[in-house]
Amino acid sequence: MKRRVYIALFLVLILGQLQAQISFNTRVSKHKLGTDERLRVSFALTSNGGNINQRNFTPPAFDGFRKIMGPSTSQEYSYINGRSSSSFSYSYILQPVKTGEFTIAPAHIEVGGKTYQTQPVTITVVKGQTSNNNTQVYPSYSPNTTKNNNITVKGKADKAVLVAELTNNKPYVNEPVGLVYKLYIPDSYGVVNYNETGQPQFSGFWAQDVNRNISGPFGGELNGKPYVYYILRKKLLFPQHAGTLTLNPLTLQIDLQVPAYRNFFGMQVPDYEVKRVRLTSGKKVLKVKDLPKKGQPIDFSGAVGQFNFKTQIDHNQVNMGEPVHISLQVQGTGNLKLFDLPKLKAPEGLEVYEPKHSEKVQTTFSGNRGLVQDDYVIVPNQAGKFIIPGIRFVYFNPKTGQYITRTTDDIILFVSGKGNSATYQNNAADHTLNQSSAHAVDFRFIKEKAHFTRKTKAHFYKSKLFYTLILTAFILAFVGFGYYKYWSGRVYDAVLEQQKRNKNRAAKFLKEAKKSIGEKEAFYAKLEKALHNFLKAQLKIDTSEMSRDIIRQKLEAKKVPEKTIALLMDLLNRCDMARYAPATKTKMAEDFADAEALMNSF
Amino acid sequence: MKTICLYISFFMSLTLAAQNAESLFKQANEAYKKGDYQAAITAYEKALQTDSIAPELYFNLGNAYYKLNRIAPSIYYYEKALKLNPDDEDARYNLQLANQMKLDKIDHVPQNILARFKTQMNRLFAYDIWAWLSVFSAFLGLLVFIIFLFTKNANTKRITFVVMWLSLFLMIFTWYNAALGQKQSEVKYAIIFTPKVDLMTEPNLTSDVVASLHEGAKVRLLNADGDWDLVKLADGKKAWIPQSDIKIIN
Repeated sequence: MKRRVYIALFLVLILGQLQAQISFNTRVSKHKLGTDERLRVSFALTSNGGNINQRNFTPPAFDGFRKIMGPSTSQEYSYINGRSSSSFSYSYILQPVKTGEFTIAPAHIEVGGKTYQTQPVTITVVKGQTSNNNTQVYPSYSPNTTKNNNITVKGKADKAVLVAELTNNKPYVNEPVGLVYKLYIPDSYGVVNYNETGQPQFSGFWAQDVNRNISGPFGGELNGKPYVYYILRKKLLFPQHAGTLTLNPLTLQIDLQVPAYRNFFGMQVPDYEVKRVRLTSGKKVLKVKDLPKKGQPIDFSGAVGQFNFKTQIDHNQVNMGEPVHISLQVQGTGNLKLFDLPKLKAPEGLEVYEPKHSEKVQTTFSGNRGLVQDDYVIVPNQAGKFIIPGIRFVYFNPKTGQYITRTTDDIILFVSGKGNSATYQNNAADHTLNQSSAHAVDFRFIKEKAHFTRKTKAHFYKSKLFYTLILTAFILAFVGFGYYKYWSGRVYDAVLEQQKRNKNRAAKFLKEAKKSIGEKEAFYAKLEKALHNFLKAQLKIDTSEMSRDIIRQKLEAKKVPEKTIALLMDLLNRCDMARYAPATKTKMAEDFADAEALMNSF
Repeated sequence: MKTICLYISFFMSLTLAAQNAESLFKQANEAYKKGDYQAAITAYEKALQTDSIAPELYFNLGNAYYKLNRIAPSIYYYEKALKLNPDDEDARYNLQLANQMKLDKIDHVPQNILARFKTQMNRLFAYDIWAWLSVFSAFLGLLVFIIFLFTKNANTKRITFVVMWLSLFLMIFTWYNAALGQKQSEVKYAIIFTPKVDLMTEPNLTSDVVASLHEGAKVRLLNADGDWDLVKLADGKKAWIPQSDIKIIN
């Protein structure tokens, strides 16, 4: 008894469940359509509980529509996680007869003795075609007439479409362009086999893979219709020169699983068939714009994107010979791998080694993102303060179409003289100065006292005063010389005069002596005077200088023969002696003759 | 009477101007000592506006610019200080330090020993001093010549004769040095004030670039043609440079 109750309860539960799980709905392909378009209406009965014992399907009267096809039935069974579900649908293809609003009335069906009915659906019919909804089965619209002209659809196969999408088809040179290939198929289709028959060539581009793997399916829409799509590959392209660049199409050969119906003993049996389709993405044309020449800085090295630029130094105060690390870093999005970083320039006293280049770049669909870096090692080989000037980095921002210059601040480096000076080398020319600066960076302090002078100082050299003074010196020299000439001339005359006078006097006294031969006193006195005057004239001596020794010296200096000197001395002696000794007339005559001969002999 | 008044007022103004420069100089030094280099520069440059000048003013101004890491003005004012007073060891020393900051190589013009001796000798005195020495030698020669003429002493005559010729030679030598110094002073140099400048083969921007120089580089001025100056580089090359990029040391 108890057991029966359980079974009954179980059955009730099952049945209850069955009852609850049955639904009957109307599905329409669209709610608004043009008179030239067709409407697909299906009434679907779904059930979670195995077989559906359905009968007495009563379609509504399609007011305002003409039945073109139907009813066609389709049945689906599925068994998921131990639960079976089934659906049964009746489909009609309808053509609107006139414009206006129409209601598709409920359809009725009887399942397990119970009658189910669908909800009424309202359809709006307008004249012609609805703009958004293209009735063409194979969509192929031209880029010009659609809003999104990055999508070109060219599919020759049954509703499967291969699309190449560009993020930008008018890029600048070196501006990254994302390229994605998408395969759209209706959600009831499946791809059995996939084969690339034509690879696109990226000539004129620097191409990078963002993603090589096929991903999907994703839900999507194409021409307002629900589709699923797969992303076949994603690329990042950097156009390398200006002009019209063409991308060859990607061509595929795919085997599609397409739903179909098979006539099986007069019954429509749903099935799949495999269709081989060739798809092409079509050629893509890019109009690559050259970077504007106007306003292009000279040090532009081809960077295109959005960047930040900075320099970093590990420490500002070092000893001579100690290495300093400076890094130059460009961070941002753009063609990071395609340009050179600016070079670091340092004064002569800093030795700069070749930088170490490093890149941390991620390739994303919007461009290369990350940073490139140059690490410099600098070894100071002189002490002092050094300025490493700020570095300019120029890039082109394709978003704004402008060149942007980023300049870092000057780096100031203090190098003290202590420490390892092995690498230090002098400059030959300023040897001493460098040596003194090698020990300490002593900077000479300002001066407390200033010696002010007038700014406009007249120069002495080449001035009138200068020439006048020099000229004066020379004129005075000439004047002096002239005076000397005059003066020395007069002195000469005076001497000659004296000589002449002495000579005359000598002759006069000699003459008088001759007259007074015989008078001893007078004769010798006169003879002596004559001789003295003669000597004065001849030897240019004064009376004060008259002594025998001087006379002898002078005469010897004049190279007078010894015999003559002796005779003269003898005569002078005789003149002295004769005053005290007696003298004859003949003796006097003899002496006179000697004196005359002597005076004439000079 | 009128002229005397004029003279007095002239000298008064002169001393007043000097006092003004002096006080500005002192004021600037105070600012410098406090580390306010910008204020010091302002005051020093005001002192430059007066019509009195001192090499120390240029030197201190160079120091202030050095402290502010301004390469070109620092080098420029040290050079000016040295032009006014070539014996200033401090200016020479700090100029060397300032030159370390610049990017271009410190150019050493190769000179043989004889030429170096010649320039060093010439640098002993300013050329006006050389000119005065020349005048002095001329008068010394004159004096000695007179003594030579009128002396009767043979020894004095001998010595004065030699000294006379020596002083004549000295006069010519010092005159030559004055001329050399003056010629040197007419050689103008300029300092580049812009961070980087291209030197062109012709005085226009479309011609070829001979070389690029950076802030603080010294060039020799040969000729000026409107907005462009012809300069001689350390390696002997001649090139044109926009006048706005340089400042002449005069």
